[in-house]
Amino acid sequence: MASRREARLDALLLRAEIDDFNAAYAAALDEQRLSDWAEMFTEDAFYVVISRENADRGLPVGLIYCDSKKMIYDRAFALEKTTMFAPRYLRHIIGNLQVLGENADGGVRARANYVLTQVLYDRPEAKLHQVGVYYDVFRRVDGLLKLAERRCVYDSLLIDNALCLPV
Amino acid sequence: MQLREPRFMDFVQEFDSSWSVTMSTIWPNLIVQREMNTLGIRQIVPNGPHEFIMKWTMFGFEGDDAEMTGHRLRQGNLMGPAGFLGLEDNEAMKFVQDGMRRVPGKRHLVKLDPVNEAGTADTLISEAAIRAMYKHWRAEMGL
Repeated sequence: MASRREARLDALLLRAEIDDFNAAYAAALDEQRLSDWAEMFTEDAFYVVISRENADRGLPVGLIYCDSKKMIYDRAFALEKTTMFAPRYLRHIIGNLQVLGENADGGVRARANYVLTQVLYDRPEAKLHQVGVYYDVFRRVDGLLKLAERRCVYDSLLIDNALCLPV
Repeated sequence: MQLREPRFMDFVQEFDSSWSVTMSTIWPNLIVQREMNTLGIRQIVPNGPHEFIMKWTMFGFEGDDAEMTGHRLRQGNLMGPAGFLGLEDNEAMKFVQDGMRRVPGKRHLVKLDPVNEAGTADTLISEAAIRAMYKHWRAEMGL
């Protein structure tokens, strides 16, 4: 009886930890601290922003496609230092977290829905920029949760002008 | 300033061509682009006076092994729809459109290479080709 309770507590703690992680992830992107965002991944991480149309058909092309933290870091660096795009505010709302289970190597599978709004300075209102699902694998590095995989699968059929900042 | 993962800029020689980048615009709304090892097409679908949809298709090849597919997917970060070049193109087009709409009388001309009015230029620092394209477009549209 006690061990079942322990297991439930462990599951709740893990869920809370992933929830906190996602809140920190959203804050890093919303505040456009992109180097901090890149640090939330493991060295061998896979990160893709892909349309649901492509994902459902098994087609691999993504808007952003990174198969290592180095590539994620390069994207962050380019956006912070060299890329030219109109200034904007983003707001990531992450919810409906589900912890799905553990892989043989200890990675934790999870999913969460996301809503991304964007305010461009030429219009007063926030627009719905993207709606989708994160399909994740988390792994611990030195005790801290990191993303080994985040597939951002968006439902939206069109992107308003450009996806400039990560999802 | 250095890439941490320079591998995505690798160029695998695939064709008997000395060019690593070629692009053609096919009248009226198709752009075919080979950018290093990515092949893509962009289709422009007008859906109003101030808007158009740009449909992107990126290709792989039947004979590609997993490594080559991976390479093409990584290189999509350069000239895909949100690639380092692609996203700036999208933004630049919006800047131009937003700028045009705010000009009184809706007429606006800044000539790069005024010597070559319209047609072919010997240099890439010229808008002679795009002026020729719009000249033809206006004739086709009866403007």
